[in-house]
Amino acid sequence: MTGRADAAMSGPARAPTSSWWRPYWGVLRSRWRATIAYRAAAIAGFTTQVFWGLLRVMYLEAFYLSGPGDATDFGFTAVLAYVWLGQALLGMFPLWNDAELGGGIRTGTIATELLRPVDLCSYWGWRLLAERVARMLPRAVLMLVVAVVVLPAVGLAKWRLPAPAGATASAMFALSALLSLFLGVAISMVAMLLMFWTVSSDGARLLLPTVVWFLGGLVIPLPLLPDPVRAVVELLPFASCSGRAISDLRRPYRRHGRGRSGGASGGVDRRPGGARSPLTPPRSAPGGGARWLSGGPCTYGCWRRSYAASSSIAARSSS
Amino acid sequence: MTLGTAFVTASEFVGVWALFQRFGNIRGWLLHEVAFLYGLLAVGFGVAEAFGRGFEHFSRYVRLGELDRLLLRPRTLFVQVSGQSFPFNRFGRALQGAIILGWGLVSASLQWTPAKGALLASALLGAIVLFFGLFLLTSTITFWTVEQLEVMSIVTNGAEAAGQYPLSIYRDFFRSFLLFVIPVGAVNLPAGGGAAGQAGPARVSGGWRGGRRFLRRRFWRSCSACGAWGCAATPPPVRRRALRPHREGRPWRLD
Repeated sequence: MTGRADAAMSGPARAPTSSWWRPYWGVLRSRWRATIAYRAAAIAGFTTQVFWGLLRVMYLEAFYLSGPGDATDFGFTAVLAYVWLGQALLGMFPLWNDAELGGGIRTGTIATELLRPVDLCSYWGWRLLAERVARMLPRAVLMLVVAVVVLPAVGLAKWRLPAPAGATASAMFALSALLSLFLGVAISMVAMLLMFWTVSSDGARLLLPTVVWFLGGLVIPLPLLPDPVRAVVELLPFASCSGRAISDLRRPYRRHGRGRSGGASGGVDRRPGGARSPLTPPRSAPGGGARWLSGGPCTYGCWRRSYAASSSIAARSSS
Repeated sequence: MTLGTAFVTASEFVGVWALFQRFGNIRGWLLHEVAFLYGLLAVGFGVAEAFGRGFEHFSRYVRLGELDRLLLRPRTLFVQVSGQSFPFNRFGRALQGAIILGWGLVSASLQWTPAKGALLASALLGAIVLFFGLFLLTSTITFWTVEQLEVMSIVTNGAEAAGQYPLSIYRDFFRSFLLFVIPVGAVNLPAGGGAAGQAGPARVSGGWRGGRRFLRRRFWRSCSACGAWGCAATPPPVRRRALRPHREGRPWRLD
């Protein structure tokens, strides 16, 4: 009943409406306030995330400096974007479930919850959504500040978050991040609903973070997986939790990212035997025609790629 | 359950494996050499976690005042807290670490000598003691903070993750952090350098003089077992100061 009561109390004195969304809106607001209240926890988590981001950047950089970077179409700038945005958006991955929500299934308090005049699934969903957003937003802002401002200030400009491809890419990134947020909530919901059958939450609590951690691209960036593995992993929903959104932000960005070798790029971007270091930004390359058509199942990445290709061609013809 | 934990934690190594599939090496280190470091730290972390699990709940004792009751009992607090729970499934991490460690050792095709065995045993013991000590340290902070801080996972989990890779890949500030703040380098460095047959301290600590000097004094010279590991290929420069020609301009360099 908390949601409804909260909504009724906090709103201005209005006649009690029967709009179906009011309780959910109340849940959203109260959870937001409850989560945002723990500032110390947010700062602690943020420090941890900066540490992990630095660690990840350091060993990935070492890999890029020592191996044939040609093995991948995913350059180091893309890795930087992947790591920092991944750290910024970590809060919205379906890694942590609210023990309060699922716990009721074992103890039996779920019966009380079922008596509430709200739809249980929606109630849980909104609650999870509010928590995710509240956990993510402050950390994301701080993380962007660190990755864009602080890193160059302390002399690590090489590791800062690269600029996005453009306004369109940023907007599409925001859109796909939003969709990823909903997807993450949906995955968490499925995990919690499974508890109606399994009762114990130990299995899901152990397994879900690991699965998401690996298949969501938090252990290593998904584009760096071996190609057969990657083909399978990218079909799974976990890859879209935010890995897809993040990797697509940079991948089609031909002018600063690395073009794909071969295909229709006409040899401009082909690098003979990895002559160029993977860390140096390659020269601009015209987008490879319809190369993205064979790129497998993707949504906005394709769109972005076609956009990048057409804009770079237009830029060439005008100059 | 133990096997399940082993499977779950092994996903980290799958990530390492995938990166090696892409890039082949990391600063000259091959997969089995990194596997050795990974296994060493995973075993240390897993065993220490199993024994020191009680310290994870230490904040609860402090918060709820149960600590007072423990203090009244006629045994040391240390034994009581660490014995509070002994989750056997935590050995899953140690198990997969041991398997990976074994694989790394086999594919390194070492010439086994008693000294090497002793070094391996002491490295394992050192890793266990190190992580146990870190757990103890992070739990005692709750005397001041009451809550277990998430930041402290940097000290434990972060140390394990960072120590999987040779220290030579990190920047100076991070390397000194791993040597002096969280001394995970003290475990990973002599053992790893010796086992892999490469990267003696001079190379591992790169251009960082303080660390180099420190390491040479602390670990290299005092650890004769290192030579037995095959490090003899790059013998440590044991210079005698009397024979060394005076170099101008750097009177402060003692090595």
